[in-house]
Amino acid sequence: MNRLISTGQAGEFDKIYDNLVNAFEGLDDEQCLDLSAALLVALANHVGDERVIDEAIEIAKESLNDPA
Amino acid sequence: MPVESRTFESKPPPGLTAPEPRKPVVIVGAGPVGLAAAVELANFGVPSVVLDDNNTVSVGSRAICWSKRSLEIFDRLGVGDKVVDKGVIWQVGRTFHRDREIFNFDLLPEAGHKRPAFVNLQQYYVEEYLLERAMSLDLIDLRFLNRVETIEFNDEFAIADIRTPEGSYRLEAEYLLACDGVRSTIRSELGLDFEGEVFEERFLIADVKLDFDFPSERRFWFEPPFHNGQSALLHKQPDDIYRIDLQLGLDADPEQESHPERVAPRIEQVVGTSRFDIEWVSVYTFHCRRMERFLHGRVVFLGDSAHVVSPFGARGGNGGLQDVDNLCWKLAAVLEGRASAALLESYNAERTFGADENIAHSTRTTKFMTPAPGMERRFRDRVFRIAGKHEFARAWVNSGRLSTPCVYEVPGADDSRLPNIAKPGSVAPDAPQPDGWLIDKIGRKPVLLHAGCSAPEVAGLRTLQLKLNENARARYLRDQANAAYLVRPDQVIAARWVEADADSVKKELAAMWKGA
Repeated sequence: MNRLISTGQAGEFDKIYDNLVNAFEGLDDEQCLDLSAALLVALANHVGDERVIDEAIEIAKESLNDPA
Repeated sequence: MPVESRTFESKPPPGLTAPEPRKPVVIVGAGPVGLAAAVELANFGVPSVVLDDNNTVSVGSRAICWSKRSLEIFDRLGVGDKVVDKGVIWQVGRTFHRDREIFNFDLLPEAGHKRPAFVNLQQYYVEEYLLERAMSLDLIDLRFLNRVETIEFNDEFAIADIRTPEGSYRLEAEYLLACDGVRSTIRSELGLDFEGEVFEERFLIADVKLDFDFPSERRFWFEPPFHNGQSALLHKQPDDIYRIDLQLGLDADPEQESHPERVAPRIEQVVGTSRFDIEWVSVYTFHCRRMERFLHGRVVFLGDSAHVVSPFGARGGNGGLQDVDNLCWKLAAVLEGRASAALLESYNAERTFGADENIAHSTRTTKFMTPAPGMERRFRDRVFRIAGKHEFARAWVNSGRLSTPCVYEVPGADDSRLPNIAKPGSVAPDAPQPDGWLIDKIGRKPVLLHAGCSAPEVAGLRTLQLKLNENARARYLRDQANAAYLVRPDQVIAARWVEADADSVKKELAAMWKGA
């Protein structure tokens, strides 16, 4: 069974990060939430693995509780 | 500081008394880029005149992180050992967010390379070593306190009007290399400017002498509690001098911020003690931009005169040395008549490509460091929060992606069964050989590097047999039994084959000299 990829390759994703950030440029808060939801649907479809997505949800939720 | 206060002398230029014959090359600017170009051209037998409006090395540390590729270039210039012996080798980097360390990395030296990933050394030392080297070479005519006032060029040569304390004179040069830095006189005299998006940020940069030993690591802070939430960077240099870069924000007043009474408390918070001496302070506004073309008729731009980046990837000084590496063999071939002037177009194409890569990296780092409010800010905050616990997010933390040579888009023959690390357009990877290092054996003449087979004979092309070991095999063969690589004088791979034949090698060699 697949697991969420736990390592990242330094620098490889900078362009992707930049594209993600730029996608939200000029949008208001409501539009940002809508775009986030639409992006998640598209990416979840691509991943297509319940276990991987559950793991991602867990990590994302955990980040909301981080006091730092 | 003894190095910085040392002044250099040169004889009065002959042009003050009688017109001088046209020079093959005049270099404007005796910083690391201009001096490296003079020494590298001398390596190819090309004489040059180097003009500088000053007679000292630079003040303050300025460019401090020299990459592995730059160290290999320094080796070819005859100063590699000096730089490495004096410099501080570092491999651990620690990244902090607010008051906690989110991760650290170790640039573990990969086995089988002559030179380490990075060495820290103040620019004034590099300039001093290059100056000493240049002064020892008869082909280099160094002229201090010679300031270029005006410049023009026609189809055959460039003309520079030069002012010295003893008077003015004129020099003609077949080619003039503008290595005169970000505020290039040559660039403005020709009415040229940087193009593209301006991305500005302001930093306070300080050299600080500490009387206790701090580990030799790179430390980077995002939003540190000691600096109003702006970024900070700490690097160790030789002589117990530490380099501190503090982000100020664009609305900061440079004049005010460089006052010692403002600087000292900030530094105290970075280093955690008041036992330090401030050696140098500068407020630096950077932008990420380049000239549209680096080649304008008889004038060639190299280094900061051609392109500027933020300091967080060590891409300024290292990028400038890669310009030198790329240009000099081509210019020597053109002056020698071995290649047509069209070869220089490939300098423009390859180094604007390299500059774009550096600017892209540098711009992304700057954006990560200074996110706009809203989603951009949220993305970054999430990356930090996830990175504290999960390794994958650490790779997304961008505090500067350190300079590596770019892989040029070259049209030469390729065979994808061979390792990706040595594909055409890459610098030939180093490997240990029984009697030294491969990178030294490749030298600065075109060579056909062959492994596991004999090399086809091609007139005017040296051959070099790669002695096989684990590193050499991984970098040049992968699972193939044999291979041949055509390597350019700047040690960039031009073409490669599993089975090379004389005709295709000959064809690729001819294309290499054409820059096509």
